[in-house]
Amino acid sequence: MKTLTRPEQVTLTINGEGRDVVIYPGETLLYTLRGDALGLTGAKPGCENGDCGACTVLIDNIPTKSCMVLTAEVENRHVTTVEGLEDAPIQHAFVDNSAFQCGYCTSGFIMVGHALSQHADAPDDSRVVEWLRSNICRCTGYQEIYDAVRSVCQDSTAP
Amino acid sequence: MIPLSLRYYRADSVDEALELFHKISHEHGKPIFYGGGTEILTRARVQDIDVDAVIDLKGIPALKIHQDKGGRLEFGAALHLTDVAEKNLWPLLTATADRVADHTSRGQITLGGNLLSILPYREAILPFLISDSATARVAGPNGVRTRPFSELFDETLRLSPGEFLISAGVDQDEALGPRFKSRKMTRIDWIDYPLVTVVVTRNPRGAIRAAFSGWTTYPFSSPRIDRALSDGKRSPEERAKEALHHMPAPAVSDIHGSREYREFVTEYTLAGMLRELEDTP
Repeated sequence: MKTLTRPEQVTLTINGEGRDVVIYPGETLLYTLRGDALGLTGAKPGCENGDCGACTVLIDNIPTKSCMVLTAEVENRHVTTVEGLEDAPIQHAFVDNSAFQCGYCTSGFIMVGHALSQHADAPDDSRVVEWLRSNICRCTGYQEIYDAVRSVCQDSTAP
Repeated sequence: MIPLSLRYYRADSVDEALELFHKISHEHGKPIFYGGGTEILTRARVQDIDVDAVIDLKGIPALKIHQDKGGRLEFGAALHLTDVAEKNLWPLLTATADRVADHTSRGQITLGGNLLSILPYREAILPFLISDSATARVAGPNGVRTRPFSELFDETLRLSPGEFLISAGVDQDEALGPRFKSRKMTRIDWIDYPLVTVVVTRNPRGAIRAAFSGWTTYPFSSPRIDRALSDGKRSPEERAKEALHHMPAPAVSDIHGSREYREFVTEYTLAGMLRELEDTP
């Protein structure tokens, strides 16, 4: 049984590295990532209500809204933030397709697109759209974002 | 950050979770069982929930069961909705649960969390409501019991304090036999709470069963509605209109749509689903 009843130092695996950090039991992962100890500000606080997706990170390669997870839940799991991608194809695709305007939502979209591109099954168009519906771009640059993600995913319906 | 002083416990077994709940309650704490956490954290953020300890159930193997065994389909309460969709043991459940929230959120929301949500929708419950063989395995202070959904469901799954859902099951024959349609109708956006979600099945003898979410403050099915929808002598439009007379409560008016609009959308959605089910060979 895991118990966390007061602020305590835990070791989290973030972007492939073990990081020691003191967390509160009621602390969300978004808060921990962006705090002074880790300083990983790529995950953005938007709605903090699970709606906008700006705070999306990967937990064990699954896109997850970090405002909707307690940090205590992710001990012994692998967290990947946009800082951990290191020159991934999806990042170049966003540049090549001008898939951002103000940029606030970009890291969340990139994490969803990266997870989808790494998925074993090649997605068809409807699946790409379904995954991207998890995130909101208030600049409404959806077509370019779709084009960027589509470009790094094999198309299962392509001849 | 959640504006509550919380304690976090991750149980490894059913007994451990039950003991923790009992112990914390006995010490005048306010524990709550915790699955995906999306609803609890959302409510905690706006201080709409009074708890001081969460007991995370996701580490309990019995709640991750996901199998087709001995003619029964079994779904652990801690399965994420995306797990249910990807394995797709019960296509009707997949079709319904896969329209809850958005894809990323469905990777966090658990089946048990959806079935026991305080929100009115709980779409994943609809397939169970129209399956006579549906059962729920519930852990509580008196041990683990398996009970028919029909006994446990009265507008919501009636669990007592200190009880939690381990898994839900259904007979494979009943689950996979009928043809089905599942539709979630929203006002504008694809990702939104439903005006109405309708699930309809048609067995090989032509009997129709239907369940609804979003129409009122709880999901429901009704034998009277099923009888009206199964009257093959009438057109789909006539049957859909008749079914609306047998709803157990008036349609709600809320920010998503007025009562009249909900009735209109439900009627044409239902008629279209009946036609699709009956036209396809």
